[in-house]
Amino acid sequence: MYTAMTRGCAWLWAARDEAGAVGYRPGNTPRPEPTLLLAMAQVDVPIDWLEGQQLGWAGRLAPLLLGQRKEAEALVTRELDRLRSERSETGAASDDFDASLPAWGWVPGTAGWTEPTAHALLALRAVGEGDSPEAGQARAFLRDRQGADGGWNYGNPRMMGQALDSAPVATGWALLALADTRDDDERCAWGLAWLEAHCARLPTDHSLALLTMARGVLGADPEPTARALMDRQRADGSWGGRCDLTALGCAALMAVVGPPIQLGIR
Amino acid sequence: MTDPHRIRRITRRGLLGGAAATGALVAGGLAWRACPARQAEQRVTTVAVPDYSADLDAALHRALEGWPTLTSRLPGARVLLKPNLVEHSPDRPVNTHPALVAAAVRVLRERGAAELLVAEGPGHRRDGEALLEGSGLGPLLRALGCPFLDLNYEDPVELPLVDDLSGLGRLPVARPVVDADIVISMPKLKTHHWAGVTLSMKNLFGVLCGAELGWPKNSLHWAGIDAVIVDLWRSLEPDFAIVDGIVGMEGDGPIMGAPFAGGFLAVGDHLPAVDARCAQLMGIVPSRLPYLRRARAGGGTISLKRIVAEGDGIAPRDVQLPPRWGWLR
Repeated sequence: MYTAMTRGCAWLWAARDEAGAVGYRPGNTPRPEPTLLLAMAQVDVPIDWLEGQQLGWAGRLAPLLLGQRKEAEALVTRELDRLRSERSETGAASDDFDASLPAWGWVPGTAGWTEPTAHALLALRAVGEGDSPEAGQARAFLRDRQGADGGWNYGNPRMMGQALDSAPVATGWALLALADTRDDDERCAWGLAWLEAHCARLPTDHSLALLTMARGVLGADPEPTARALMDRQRADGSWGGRCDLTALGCAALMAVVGPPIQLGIR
Repeated sequence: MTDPHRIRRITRRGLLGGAAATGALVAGGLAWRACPARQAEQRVTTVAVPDYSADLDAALHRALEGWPTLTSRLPGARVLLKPNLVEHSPDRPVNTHPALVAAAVRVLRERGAAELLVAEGPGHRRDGEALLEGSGLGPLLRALGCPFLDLNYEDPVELPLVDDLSGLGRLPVARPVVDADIVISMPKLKTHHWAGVTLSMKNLFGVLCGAELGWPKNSLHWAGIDAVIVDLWRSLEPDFAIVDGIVGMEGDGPIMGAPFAGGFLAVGDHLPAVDARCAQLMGIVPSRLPYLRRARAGGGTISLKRIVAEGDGIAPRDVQLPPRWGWLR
């Protein structure tokens, strides 16, 4: 498994452009999300390059992944300021969910969604602000949006009276974000069970990587799903030929072979 | 800044032809704004297909026979086929049926397409692999040796919006869409609780990059879903539409509705006309759909009097409309 992880890291290393940034696929235009996710695979992240970019929603990954790095202090401060100043629009009252809860969206001035809000909570926790009012808002939103099956939809658990399907990626990030307090133990166990069942039915690189990390932070043995993920690694060392997925894959294997990426340690 | 219009016209139509076409379209659009009754005549072909076990290749060949504007351009062309791939649900007809997508790949290849790419930027789900495999499309495309691209993660090209009805100015279109010689919108026939229906024009939301706009592409809704639909059609100029109306979705579409047996394919090269004809077959008055009304103002033909319905006769059916859309009838 260690070899698989290092092959993934080597693939990522080779995918970097001259600035050290990566696109979603090798050779594509460098983008903020996959470049920030390099940190998950413990591959050097080009701080200078990131400082020169508008990071959009992906900027919330900067405090999460670079929050403890002195050389990234200015970048992390900038993105934390943006995180604190941005909040989603709230909606009209709904019987399906609490539309009054502010959260974080993909694009400023729009609605709040599960994954961006989970990123925000993880970012705040990473810089020691897990008890801040903003973190409290993120927690309240994520708790409200858990679906009746235990998983999280990308947005709302219900719409127009109908339960919506949960989504594995949104569920994985929500679990990582809520994993730090005992208050959410039951909620997280329920969500993890949904994600386990989903991945047993329809395993993918993305969902297995998040499931493995979630198992790691929630105290379940991450090795079985890490092995399933390892079996899906391509001959070139990547997962899916994608930089973001390969970084997540490496981080997932680190949950077993260590050192694990510092996400939601209990 | 790259001008995608320039790229597409150079590669697909030639710069002068493209410029002339744009001029004519703009002039025509202005004329139609002044006199909406003078919509250009358009054709839409429907072919009866009872279910997905029918000979879909034969049905598609028959549907395309009257469309030399498409078929004469296929030899040697790079074709991007854009199905509707939204959620994986075994019980609900959310996606363009994989068997029909596979049939389209075969038929377009038989008619000379040099490169075929099936591509979609799913609007809700980050995990395109789950959709591809869960829907059953992945194995079919692999068997055909046809690549699939999740457009959400492709390089964005900023597409300037011709009329900018939405006020967004530009939209991030995935590079492979801009680079294709021919873009075919291949939607599922569905009701839609925000737009009334989702057909060949709304399907174009999937050419935009989720990595820029998020999952879902919520900012498009905030800017006005009808305006964005028309902006995309006007600015992207997709070449053709093949609508999967064999089994459609009624009620609370585009995800939570129920299946209904539409029993047809609809094809054409003028997307507003294709959508108007499909709306008619769903028992909807096309001009009551807000996005089609806006398309009409931008040069779209939506009047059934100006649409020549070719092919098999299909009996319109009053589908169950989404909540709050009863007035479409």
